[in-house]
Amino acid sequence: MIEMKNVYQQYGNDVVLHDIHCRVTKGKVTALIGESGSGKSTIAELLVSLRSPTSGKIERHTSSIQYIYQNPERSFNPYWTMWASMEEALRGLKYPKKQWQAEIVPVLQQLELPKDTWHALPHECSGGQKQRFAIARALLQRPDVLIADEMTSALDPENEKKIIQYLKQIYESRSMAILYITHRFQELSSFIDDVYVLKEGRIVEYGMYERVMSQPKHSYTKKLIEASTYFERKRK
Amino acid sequence: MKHKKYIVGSFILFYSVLYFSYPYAASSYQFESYLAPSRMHWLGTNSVGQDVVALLIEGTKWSLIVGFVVATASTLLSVVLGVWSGYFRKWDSLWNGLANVLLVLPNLLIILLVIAFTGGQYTMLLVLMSVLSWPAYMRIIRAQVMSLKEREFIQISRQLGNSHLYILTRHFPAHLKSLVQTKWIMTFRYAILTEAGLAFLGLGDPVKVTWGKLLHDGFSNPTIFLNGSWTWLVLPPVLLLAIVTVYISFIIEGKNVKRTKSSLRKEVHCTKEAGLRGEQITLHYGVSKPIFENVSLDVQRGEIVSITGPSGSGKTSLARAMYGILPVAYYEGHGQMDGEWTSHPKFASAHYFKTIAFMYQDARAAFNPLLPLRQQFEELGVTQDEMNEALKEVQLYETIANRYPHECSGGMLSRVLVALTFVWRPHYVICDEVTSALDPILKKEIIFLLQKKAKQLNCGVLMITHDHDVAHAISDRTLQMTKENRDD
Repeated sequence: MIEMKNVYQQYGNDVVLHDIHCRVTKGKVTALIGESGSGKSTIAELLVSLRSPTSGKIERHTSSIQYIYQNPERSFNPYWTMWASMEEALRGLKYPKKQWQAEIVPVLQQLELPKDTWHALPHECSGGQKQRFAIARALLQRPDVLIADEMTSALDPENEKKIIQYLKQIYESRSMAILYITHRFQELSSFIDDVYVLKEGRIVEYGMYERVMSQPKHSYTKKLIEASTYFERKRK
Repeated sequence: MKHKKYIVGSFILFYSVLYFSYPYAASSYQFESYLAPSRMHWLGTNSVGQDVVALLIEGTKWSLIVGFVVATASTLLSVVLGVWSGYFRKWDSLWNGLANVLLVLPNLLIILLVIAFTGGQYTMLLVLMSVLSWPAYMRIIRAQVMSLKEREFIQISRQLGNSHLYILTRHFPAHLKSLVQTKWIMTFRYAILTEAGLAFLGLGDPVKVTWGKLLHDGFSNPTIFLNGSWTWLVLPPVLLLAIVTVYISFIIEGKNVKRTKSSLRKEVHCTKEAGLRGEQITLHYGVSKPIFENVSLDVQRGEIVSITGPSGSGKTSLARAMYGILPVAYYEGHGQMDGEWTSHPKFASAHYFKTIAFMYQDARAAFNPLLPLRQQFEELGVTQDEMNEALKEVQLYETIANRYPHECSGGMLSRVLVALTFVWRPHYVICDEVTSALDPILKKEIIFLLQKKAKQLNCGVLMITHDHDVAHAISDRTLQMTKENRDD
């Protein structure tokens, strides 16, 4: 669906991305993992053309891409109710106005957003609720590609699991492509198909998720996997 | 806000009744000069035998028209040009340059020059003042629009496929409303006062009766102070001018001053028990249905207590209530530390930073981006040696203190934040989701650091986290909050 070839990105004199090749494929969940500041978010911003690369090529085979920001606090107009923000997503699509309600309600119900928050203002909702509204808004557009930057890191594990299951169901039925930027890849193991490991702006390893997790080649990947299961192992 | 409407409404009603029912016209010169106020002529007559009330009615009309027309035209110009150059960045430098030129040139000088050449008709004045008064607010609106345009919800709206027109008409108005209101009110006052000043100096339109013109005519004859006629010739227009402009100032003031009711709660008896405690806290956020009820929690020195639970269950609010920074209107019950009431104003100066510290989620947002790290330590009254010691303990070199936050990686900043949190050797530390945005390697490292420092300083740690594994791995006790307003 989207392919990055030979992409470099520079901010001033800092080269933040070196020779990135990556691909987001239809019907697959691609995860982007790596340390903070390794350029994960920059890749996401390049993919949704919020930035243009210093050099290299990005091929997009669809224009219907939705980006879910890391921080839901700033993703909503503070003067609008959540419902108005949801309706905004449907405006551009060719639905009759009568059908809007029927489109929005099931999505909000699936994401288990309590009814009294539907018409609340952003500051009246908690961070996790806002994040779920942001996901709902992106899904209402029925995008071909969903780029999620730490989409569920503001959520507790139970909610995260539920949302992931719901997303899985949706993306399988619509054959969406998902790019998932996350630190919490262990928790999402059943969900991820491919994985790219990023360190200091370079892709150090990529491949099928199971393969990378069971036989990591790069020392950084090994360290990352070890650290991510540390507390779980310790708890047991 | 309500009484403002009544004041304006009753003024308009009173004025229109007078306007339509007052028997004399401003244009008739049929009376004797300098008649004192009487039942026939409420405010007497002037030097050429015109009825003063009739003149005031006429003058009020034209003075207020100046205000309305100039304020509206100038506000429109500011908004249109501000949005145009801020949002579309089209001809931005042209409008900006023009605004700068107009801001630098003294308005009054230009007005005087134009009047000198054209004679200063009423309409000319209106146009002139409208054209001269837009730049300042155009610049402010432009800046506001430029920052709004980059906000994420606007970007998202674009991604959702909405047009520029839609964004400008639906997203922007609420954000620009207060600016536009202030601009209109300020210009209204500016226009009325400038016109009055010009007319008073005899530079206004000679045939239009305005408040300034009335003053000019009144003062033109020095005898008004001898025969006492100044009380009905000069005083009324001065009073009208004063009332309108002062009233408008109040409107502007009223916008900024929002009176918050200080809801003082009755002193609760503090149980003199040690530890950071939340006692019988009920969080209701001003709405009827509480988020949670009667939750009690205590953290003793040397132990790590975690609060876990789904988002929206009030974890952070509970911790903030215990820390005493949640507004008291939002909750019942009280937080206390070693027998002191945390929401008491005195508590803040004595204890925040020093005996109890709050560590926020985002290390990058916790530092001032414009100051080097050294200065941010010094701001808290930390000496050089203490800072070096603290940095060494989190395995950082002393030289890092000379860097600015943007020159440090996320991992470094997280470690500096730990150093800064523990530099005062606090008795208690509250950590709000400090690890949820970190990558696994860094998370492990920061948790270890926290554990080590807490043990070393015999410090009580309250961890808010939704990571069950972390909570169970490191904490002595865990409070699990649930959505059903209960804790178990």
